[in-house]
Amino acid sequence: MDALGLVNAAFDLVVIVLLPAVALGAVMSADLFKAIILFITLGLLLALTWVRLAAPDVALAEAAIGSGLMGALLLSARERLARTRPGRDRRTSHYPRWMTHPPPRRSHRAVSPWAASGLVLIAVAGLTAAVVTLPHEAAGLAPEVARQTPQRDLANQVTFVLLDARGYDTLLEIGVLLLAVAAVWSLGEAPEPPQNAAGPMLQGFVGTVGPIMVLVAGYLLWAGTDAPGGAFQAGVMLGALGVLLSLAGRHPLARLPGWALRLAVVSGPMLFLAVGVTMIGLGRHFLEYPQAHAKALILLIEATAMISIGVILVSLYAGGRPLSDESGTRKGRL
Amino acid sequence: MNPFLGYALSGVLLIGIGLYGAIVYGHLLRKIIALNVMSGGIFLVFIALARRAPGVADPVPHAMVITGIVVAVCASAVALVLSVRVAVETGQAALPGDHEDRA
Amino acid sequence: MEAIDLVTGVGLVLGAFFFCAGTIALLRFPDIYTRLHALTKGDNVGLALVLLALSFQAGSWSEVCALLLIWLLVMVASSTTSFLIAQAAQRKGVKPWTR
Repeated sequence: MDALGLVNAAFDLVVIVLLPAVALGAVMSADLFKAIILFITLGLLLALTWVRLAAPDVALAEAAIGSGLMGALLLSARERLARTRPGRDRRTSHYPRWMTHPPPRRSHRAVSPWAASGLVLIAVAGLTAAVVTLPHEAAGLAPEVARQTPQRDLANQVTFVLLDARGYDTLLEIGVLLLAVAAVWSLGEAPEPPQNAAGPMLQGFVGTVGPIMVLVAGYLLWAGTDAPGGAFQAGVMLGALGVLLSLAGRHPLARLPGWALRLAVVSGPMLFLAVGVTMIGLGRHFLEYPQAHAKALILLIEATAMISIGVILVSLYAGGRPLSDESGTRKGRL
Repeated sequence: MNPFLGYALSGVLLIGIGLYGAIVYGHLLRKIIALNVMSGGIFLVFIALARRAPGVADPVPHAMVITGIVVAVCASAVALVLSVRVAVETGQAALPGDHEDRA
Repeated sequence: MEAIDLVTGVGLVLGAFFFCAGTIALLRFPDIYTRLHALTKGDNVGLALVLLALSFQAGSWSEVCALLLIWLLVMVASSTTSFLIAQAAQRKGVKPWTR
């Protein structure tokens, strides 16, 4: 093994050992805040791992979502839980009593840690056996994808798989995002944003970095057809910008009228669906793109999907129905 | 040397740690963190196994994991809002019957 | 080994030294303010040295510009976050360490 190989092996070993160690901390830290910070660290370590495992597309998504957005979501949920005082916020709700008043503790028993460890050990042993006994070299679907991928137009095979070969999955996935927003909006109103959070430093930071983030999102979208990147990574970049703006006290979605927000949320999946159905009308299969226009169509779908994903992620971060709905006629709407 | 096996086994450990946390801890935020650790482990096994391909890595698992990451964060966002709602309705951020550890 | 590789090697080792110093300070310093002070300075210099070393290996000027951009963005981000952390600590009433 040459020097470079040795350095790489040492690096791999450090990451391989650190991953479970940090995961243990994220799950078991006595302090919840520490657990969340360690979870964010785990996301960054995973992003590093994806680069080492030759998956730069995944690394981009992980760094932005897995650690960035998830961390922001967890921290804001912790804030909201800390502000919820038992009794004070309890609503005189229309739920039956057994739902809001948990039964006495002794009627249930918490799972014993020993039983849980036994179960987990069995699962880990089985998975280890499954992983170890797999052949150590397998091409998987790589040659097949390489054969199908059009060479010039869509050189990034991951984007090709996401939008062409497995278009159904991606369409349904954006459907899942839509469902998530519907669920979050139906669970209650967004909390009042904290008043003292925005300082001039954060606002200046957003002012400097915001335009760059928009540029990067556009680049990721455009380059995604033949280099690492794509609609998801670009959408997440916009979502992250939206979260930063919210933190700086300029709520990006608050100024949008309700219909515009809803249009932005559904436009991605709707256009995707419309293109797919149009292809049926033209005598092709659902979501089958004609070779000549594949790149243009995929870019169009990805551009709208990017905006939808960004708006959806910001809506999820807001954690409830937009506050702008409060003033108007809210009754009967989603 | 192909490091896929070490990473795959690390992923298996992550799955185990996440599963343990999701079963044992009562606090809903901890359960959500544990489930996300578990999904991180599943992604790690996927991507590590995709690395076994000689030459370029298998892009199909990559595409599936990107999809998975986005879906996982959405499911977690819903779960977090649900747990806040549980806390508002019942006054505690744990499922009935679970011992709630200090937040 | 050519001279330019040697320069890169020296830069990388020096950069790693500054990172190392910052990390030791993070572990050893008594309170949040002193830790931030050591960490931000050490990491910025360390990152600058590593990127400078790497830019000698870059194939084109656009790669050098990309490396420079990384440094500037990390500087903006790290100075903002360290300010925010210190501000949060101050609002919480964390007293600076005195001997």
